[in-house]
Order: sequence, then structure tokens, then C-alpha cells
Amino acid sequence: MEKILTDRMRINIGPQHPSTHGVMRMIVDLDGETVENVETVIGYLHRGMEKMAETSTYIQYLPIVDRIDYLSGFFCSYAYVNGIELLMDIEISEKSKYIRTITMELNRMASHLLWLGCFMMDLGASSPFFYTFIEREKILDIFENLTGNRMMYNYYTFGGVKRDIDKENLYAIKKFSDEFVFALKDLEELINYNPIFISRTKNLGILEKECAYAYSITGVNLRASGIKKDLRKDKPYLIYENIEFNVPISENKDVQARYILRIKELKESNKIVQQCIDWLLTNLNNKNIITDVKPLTLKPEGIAISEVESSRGLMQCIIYADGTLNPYRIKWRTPSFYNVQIINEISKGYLLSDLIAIFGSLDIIMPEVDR
Amino acid sequence: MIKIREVDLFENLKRKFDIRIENCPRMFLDKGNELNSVQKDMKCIVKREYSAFDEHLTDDTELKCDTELNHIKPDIYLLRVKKEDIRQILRYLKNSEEYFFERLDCMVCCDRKKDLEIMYLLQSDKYNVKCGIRVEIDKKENQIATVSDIFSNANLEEREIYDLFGIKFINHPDLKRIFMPEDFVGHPLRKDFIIQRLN
Repeated sequence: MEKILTDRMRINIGPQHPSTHGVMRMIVDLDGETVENVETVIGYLHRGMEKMAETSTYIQYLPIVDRIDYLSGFFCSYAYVNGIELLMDIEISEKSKYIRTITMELNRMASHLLWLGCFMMDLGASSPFFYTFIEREKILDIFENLTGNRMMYNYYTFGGVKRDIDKENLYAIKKFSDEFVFALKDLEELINYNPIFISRTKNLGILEKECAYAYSITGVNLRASGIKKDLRKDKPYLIYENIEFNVPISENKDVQARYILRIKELKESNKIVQQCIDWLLTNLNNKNIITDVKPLTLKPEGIAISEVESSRGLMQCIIYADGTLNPYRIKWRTPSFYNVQIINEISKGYLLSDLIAIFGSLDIIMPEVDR
Repeated sequence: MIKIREVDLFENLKRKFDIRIENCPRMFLDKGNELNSVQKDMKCIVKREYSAFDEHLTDDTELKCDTELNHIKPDIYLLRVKKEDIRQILRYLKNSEEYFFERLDCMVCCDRKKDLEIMYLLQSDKYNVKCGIRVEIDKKENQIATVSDIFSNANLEEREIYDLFGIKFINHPDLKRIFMPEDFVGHPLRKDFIIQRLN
């Protein structure tokens, strides 16, 4: 076949583009329809989270923290709250550990479900979006009953959690968790064997191990490249030591592998939720959910590095506290900030329409990148 | 009964470069806790007690200000190095089989009023340990060598630090503002940055 003559072109995607999940700009160099170079421009959603910390007290900063990643606010809350607890040597009660775990896992499921819907939308399939949102809606209803909010929870506090989880909440979670198994089965049947889906995701956006390490990629994107790395197993926090769950990995390294791992992670999270419910149902009379720490006059001192395995990867909150009422410096290490950097590496040589699929598969959320 | 082996984890590094160990996790063999495989591999049984480290730290007490923060939680290895050596040390820690700190978790910059400080947080997945490398940067000089060719993710990190703190990274491929608009004046996370009300 004769080689088709192509033109080099530079096109602009975003900042306001539905597939960028926020505001992000990509300057793409094309040769015909093949991607040659992608330059990402970020910073449209910068809100100065780190500067805000320096001008507020520890308790004033607490509600802002959820906004760093609004799809999985519990993880940000936990990273911050845990950092202060490390500095102040606060031991939290067993029950609050379980409540934190169950909320975080439900949050992980909600985040993955939203990702799944939006990712399928990026690929051009609109019906899975509605199925995932039905399930996500149930989780948000549970959170609304428990915390009073649907997205920005402000539920954790220094020394525990703010409200106790009651019997109705637990039964609601149990009901959701039992039904979710079947809902996920339906979703998988809808997507997994679809030839269009397979042809648009298989052998696409290969992320090699070396590249993943060089760019400090964490979470599902790293595990899809065949590296078994999960903070919940490596350095168990909260109660993950007592709980049985697997860390699924895949050797395929492509977009489809990332999709399959997220589905598997949904199942594992569901398992963790069920084990937590069993414990909480047998300990209904235990009302010890918070350790009194006088949060208004907290004056911690030192440096704390607090880590959590969020739904997108390793999240760190590094707190420099100098013994006054205000934090001296707070640094957020957010996983999406690192995932954004590999778009150029893994989308070279693919078509422009594949760029959207690759970008979607990384599960990048812009407020987390820009903070 | 097992004797305490006194092995210095950073012995080789010390021989090559001028470093100061600020924090080193304490682990004992004779407390009844068996060392796990990770610790055995790392041979990280600490040479001295904490008090000895404190003595070491009092060498420059007159430098101490309200932001001299030295105790870190959880316990990780904390080294203070000279900024001229930073590239060599990071390359050594990344490539040598002895340490294998092959991931740069993040770079934390902090304005300590008298100077600026960058902490490179390294993670060794092989041994599952973390190490913080702290470098002081003089405010007048205000520059340090880039490490973006050693760790690729340092590229955006350094741009972030340049944007928010104004530290220049020598030989950085694309040093420009990342969060703030290009015509912005000042570096917002510096302590002398004045927050203005925009009406």
C-alpha cells in the first residue's frame, strides 16, 4: 500500500473539555492522526490549599481538606488527621478505626464507580454511566445519613470520628454491599466482552515498569504494570492487618488492565466492607468513638509524614508544625500530580482518539493535581 | 543471648560524602523482637542512642530558630547533606544495590525564615523503608542543581517549587510557573509574601 502523505499539526485540547475531568489543557503535536508529543498545562484549579493552611488553625483547616480530592474526601481527611495524631501521640479507639476503614473503602468504591462511568462515556458508551451512578448514589445516600454531607464530609476529627454509626446505617451498608455483588456482575457482563470496548482498550497506552518507577506512579496504574505495591499491605495502617483481602495485579500494562484492576478492586473493597460490618454489628454497644484532645488549642511540634492508599494511589500529607496554633507548612503529595506527567510517555505513537482513552484510564482528577 | 551488632547503615555513604545523620530509627536485637527479613537485609541496627544524636545536633545551636524542626514521625532515616553533593548522593542512593532508593516520593520545600530547605523523600520498595534527605539553600544564592534527569517526576516538582518558593534549578529543561499565572509577581509560599485583599 502506498504511504499516505500526512501533515504535521498542533492542536489544543481543553481547558474546558468534557474528557479532561476538570480544567486541564493539552497541547498535542500530531503527525496526521498520530500523537507525537503531548504537553500538559495545569494550574487552572489552583486554590492555594497549602497557603491556606499557614493562615488558619489546625481545626479551621480540617473542613477545607476534603476539597483537595472531592471524589474521595475521606482519604484526604484521614491523611491530615492522622498526621496530627502522629505528632500529638493520640491513640484512637478500635471502633473509630473500624468506622474510618469502612467509610474509606466505601469512598474508594464510589470513586471507582464514578471513574468507570466517565471512562465509558469517554469511549462513547453512555449507558454504563447510568448503571454506575445508580450504585454510587446508594453510597452517597449512606454517607449523607452518616455524616450529613454527600461529598465534603468533614467527618473525621482529631482523635476519632464525629458521629457514631448506628444500627440503621449498618443495615443500609449491609444491604448495599450484598446487592452490589450482583450489580457489578451486570456491569461486567455489559462491558467486558464488548468487542468495541476491547478493540479500543487492548494493547493501548503501555506503561512499562521502569517508566512507572521513574515517574513515581502509585496505585492501580502501578499495579497494572505488574508491581505489587499497596500501602495497605506493605505498611498496614488502621485495621488492615486483621482483614483478609487481596491486592490484584496484572502484567498486561495497558488500558484494559487498568480497567480490570479497578473492577477487581471494587470487589476487594466490598469484601473489606463486609468484614467491617460484621465487627461493627457485634460491637454496637461500644460507644467509644472519640478521644478527647481539645482540638481548639492543639500545638503539635515536629514533622509528620502521614500516608494513605487513596483510590488513585499513594497520598501523603507532610506537616511541619512549630509548636504554635497554626501549621508552619503543609505539603500534599497527591497521586494525580504524578499520573499527569506520564501522559506524554505513554500516548506517543497512538491515535488522537486513543489519547482520550489513555488519559481516562489513568483516573486523573484535576483538583488533586492543582490543589 | 544475641549481641547487638553495631552496624552503621550509611557507613559507605559517609566515607564518600559529607553528610550528617539527623534521625535514625532505633531497632534492637536483644529486646525479644525478632528482626524481620527487611531489617536483616538493611543491617540497620543503630550505632548510637538518641542522646548521642542530640549531642551531635547541638553543634550549631546558635543557628536554631523557631522553625528548626528535627523530630520526625514516623521514624525514618533523615540525612542532612550539602547542596553541592545532592546530585551525586541521590544517584548513589538510587543505583547502588546497598540502598536501592529507586523512587522519589516527593520533594518538600519549606521556608525556614533564615534559609530555604528542600527535603527529598526517597522510598525503597525493595526494603520498604523511607529516607529523607534535607538540603539547606541560602536565600541570597537561591539556586540548586536539578535532579530531574535522575528522577523524572522531579521535573514538575521542581517547577512547583520554583513557582511557589522562587528557587531556581540549574539545568532544568523547562523552568516556568506551573500553578500561578505567568505574569504573577512574587512567590506565594514564602513567609515574606504579603497576602493582599483583591477587591
